[in-house]
Amino acid sequence: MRERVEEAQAAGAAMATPTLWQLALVFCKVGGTGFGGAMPMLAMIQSEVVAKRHWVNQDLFGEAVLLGQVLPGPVAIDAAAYIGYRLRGWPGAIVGTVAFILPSFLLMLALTVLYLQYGQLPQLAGALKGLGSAVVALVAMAAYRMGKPAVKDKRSLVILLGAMAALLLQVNIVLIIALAGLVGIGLYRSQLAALPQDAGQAGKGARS
Amino acid sequence: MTTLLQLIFTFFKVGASAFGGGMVMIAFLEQDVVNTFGWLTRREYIDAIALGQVTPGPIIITSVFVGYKALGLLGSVVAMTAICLPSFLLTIFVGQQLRRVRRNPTIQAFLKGVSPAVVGLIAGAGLSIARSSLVDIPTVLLAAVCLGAIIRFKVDSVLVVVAAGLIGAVFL
Repeated sequence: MRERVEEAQAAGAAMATPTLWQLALVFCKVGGTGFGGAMPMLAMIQSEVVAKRHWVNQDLFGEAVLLGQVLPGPVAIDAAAYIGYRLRGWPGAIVGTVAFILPSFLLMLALTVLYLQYGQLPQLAGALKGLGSAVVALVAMAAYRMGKPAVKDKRSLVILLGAMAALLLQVNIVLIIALAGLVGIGLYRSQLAALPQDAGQAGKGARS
Repeated sequence: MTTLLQLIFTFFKVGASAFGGGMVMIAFLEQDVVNTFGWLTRREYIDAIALGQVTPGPIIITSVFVGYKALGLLGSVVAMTAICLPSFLLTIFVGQQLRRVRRNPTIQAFLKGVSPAVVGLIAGAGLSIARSSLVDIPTVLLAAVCLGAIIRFKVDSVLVVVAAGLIGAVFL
């Protein structure tokens, strides 16, 4: 198979189409070894499906990442679903996504059972306290990293603080998101519509 | 049965509204999981996030913990499926229309309003997590050290979580 793929590349032919099984193996590998968040995982997917195996080209991979960033949900899962879909249709999307999630699902299940069994042990109290501190740092870092590109002017800062206050007042999250989007339409729509199309897209590229 | 429906609804809702990736979902889930339904105590939820971070794959694997605690094995499968399903379907449907969607100024403006709000929501969830995690001076110091390690020295977050657990086991 690999020889044939290399021959095809040498001849500059179309991209190779994997079987469902090959698709499952690759996404299983990425899902089982991808530590450190979305960006490292996207890099692994890129190296497996674009650089190493030439299943998709860089453009299609870029589309997958864009979709992952613009739509709700984890970027890497969106990318797995989209690449699977473009390679083998709906079965490919399902197989790619499930294979991607399966290793961490099983590991997390095992850890959960262990935690619920032994998490109350006094010997573990200190370790869990330490983990709590790390989680605060992780969440703060996520807010900081997303805040830099998202907050560009006073108006976006007001939206940020408004959303935060609404959350602390226990307002429903879907409502907060919908309101923020409507405020965005009110504030930015006419301005974005007036821009030439390319400039509008360049602005979107900066979203993390 | 009620719990099952609540699980499906909650995780599907978060999966459909958490723009911006996995950590956003974690922040969004907290409200329902801890406050509304009380499936986990805040302490357990924080530990679940830490476990989600030390496992490979996406951080929303934390849903498995929540689902299991609420409803056993079935709960974990249901929670994980429900939280992934909206973005799975959206990705494929929107992917088919990608070019049109990218150029639509209304959608661009909507997302431009949503993105700072998402940061505010994460910060808000971070505050409530901090209130129950940072209980004394050592835990505050440790959080500051973790943050410094991640932002200033770009230490991998898995390493930070493991190190913080070890430091906690020895000193806290």
